[in-house]
Amino acid sequence: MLFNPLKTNNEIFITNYGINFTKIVNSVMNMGVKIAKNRISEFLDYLRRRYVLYAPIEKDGISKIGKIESVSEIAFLPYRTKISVKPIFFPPEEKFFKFQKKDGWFELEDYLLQIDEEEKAIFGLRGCDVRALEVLDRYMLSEFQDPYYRKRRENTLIIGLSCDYPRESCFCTAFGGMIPNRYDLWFTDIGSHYFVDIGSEKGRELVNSEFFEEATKEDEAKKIRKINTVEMEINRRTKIDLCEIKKCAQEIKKKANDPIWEELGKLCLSCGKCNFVCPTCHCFDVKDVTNIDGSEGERIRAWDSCHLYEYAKTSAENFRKERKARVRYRIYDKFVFPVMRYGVYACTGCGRCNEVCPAGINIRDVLRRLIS
Amino acid sequence: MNNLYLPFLAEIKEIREETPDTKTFVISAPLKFKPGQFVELSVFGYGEAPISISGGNGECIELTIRAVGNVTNKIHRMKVGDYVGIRGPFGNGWPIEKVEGKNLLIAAGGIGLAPLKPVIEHVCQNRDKFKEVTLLYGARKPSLMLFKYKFDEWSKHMNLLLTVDEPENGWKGHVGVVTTLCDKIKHVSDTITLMCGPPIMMKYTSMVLIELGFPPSEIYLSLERNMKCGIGICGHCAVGGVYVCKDGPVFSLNRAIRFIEKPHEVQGVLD
Repeated sequence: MLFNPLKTNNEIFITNYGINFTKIVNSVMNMGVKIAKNRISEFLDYLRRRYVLYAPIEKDGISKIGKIESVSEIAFLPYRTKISVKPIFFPPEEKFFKFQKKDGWFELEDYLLQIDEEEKAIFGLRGCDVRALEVLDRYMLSEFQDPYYRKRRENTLIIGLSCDYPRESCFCTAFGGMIPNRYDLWFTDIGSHYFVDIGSEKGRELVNSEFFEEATKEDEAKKIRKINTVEMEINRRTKIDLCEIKKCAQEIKKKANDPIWEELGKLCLSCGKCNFVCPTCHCFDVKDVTNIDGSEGERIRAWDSCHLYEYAKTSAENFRKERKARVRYRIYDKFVFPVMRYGVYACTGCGRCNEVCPAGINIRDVLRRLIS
Repeated sequence: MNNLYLPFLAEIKEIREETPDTKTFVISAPLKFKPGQFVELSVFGYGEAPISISGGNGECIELTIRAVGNVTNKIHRMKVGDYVGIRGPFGNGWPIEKVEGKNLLIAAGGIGLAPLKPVIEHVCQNRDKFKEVTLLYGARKPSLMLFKYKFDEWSKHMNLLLTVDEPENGWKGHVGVVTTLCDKIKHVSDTITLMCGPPIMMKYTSMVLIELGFPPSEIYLSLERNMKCGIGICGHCAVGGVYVCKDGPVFSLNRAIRFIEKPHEVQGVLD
């Protein structure tokens, strides 16, 4: 593995949100295990019977994480899905409650109670999405907790998978590489087998099933070679290193008056696509939708975008009227403010925003200019 | 699990007309609040709006609302006995405990007097805890001044300095923006300032106060943002790494100084 200051001892990343998330064990202590590829569908079926299984699916050329009814639906992609894992926990539109007018009084029906309490297992998640979940946890489950997110997020088992080769827009190596700090199991393709890293007690229980066998030193060497090869390829293409979090955030912070914002402001169309594909963007708008006579309706939240003109508008004034200010705000809200607040970036290098930007703004180029 | 997004129902008990576009609603909500905190007011079918609490007695809260948007226009058309939804209270509130034993300057512009009214009432009830108290209040026109019926009572407890931008018939007081009254403040040292008003008023008043020798760390401002959630998640109130809803809405001037100067600039808030 490339040397990486972000990847330190797992222990320090245990954050307790008062939730029964999987406990992290020190993976250094364990020799990994492996699973033969011809047994993987048996294992996934075993998972599906015990958990509600989510995995990458591909339909009409769009890949995303979806609920799996039969193992044959799973798409074994060599890289991350096009749509992130975010909508599973934080859907684009969420109904908070229903209100119904009754003799001048209102009856409220909380939709929180209708969200199924399910034990999820997500298979085939990539490092960028797993890190994004960690970031979302910090926003959604800090001093005030988002109950809808929490109910979906609790009891989720994460079984990750290393990428075989990166998408053109990927740059996860800037944030510490393909393998995140928190996971239950982590699969890496080593030819005839998947090498499996164990990241938690729950994960250890799973590998005690019949499908897994002990890995040898050679298997581990193969895994390391595989990961290094892919990570070096990403690194070669992107050449960005943001691993020194505080130093880089400081550097970007200094660039508040850089001409780059003016340039980007001229390019950006303020469409908000980057916000919607971003696995860590979590802004939302709250609104009421009613029937035609207003006697009943629902309060919903819908994803919102800080690129939109109305975003920072109040009754007195609009605090980010200029487009360049909004472009800068988004970059700062990924690379400066979360570092000040939580000590992490709110970007994980998935590169989805590069892929969708109609103006061709590439966050890697922006970062390269800001850091240099 | 406690659902912070779920409002509770509250009845409108009383409506007081303050100015042509502002009304005070007395709402039956048994909330304990700190002066300066706000609630999320729901008008079902129209949405939510963050509104500062302008008074309360433990059983009811008062909300002084100007009709500017969707929700606020609708509540202006509602009547006594109608039901609204309330979530909260949210925010940090004014640092009243820091003022005790010191001089107090309250500076308000327009509707900005509403979140300061609980402070003024607290001062009136506990007058001996404070030294000199001055209330500086400016409005566009005399007819747009809030809580005029309280002025007589307040002036018994504090020095009331009033000003309007455009005088109307019968106005005998001072004419000009709030800053033109600043040199009439008799106490500068050992004074804590609490300020709320339109951004432009807060900007210029802060500048004049600093020139007069008020230290920026002793000036507190309440900022307005369009908070959608009130609990630091939805992102609408975020400025420079702080959430106005949960870290604010009250900030000391040395923290907020630069984003008042350049409200849309990020650079302002990086301290």
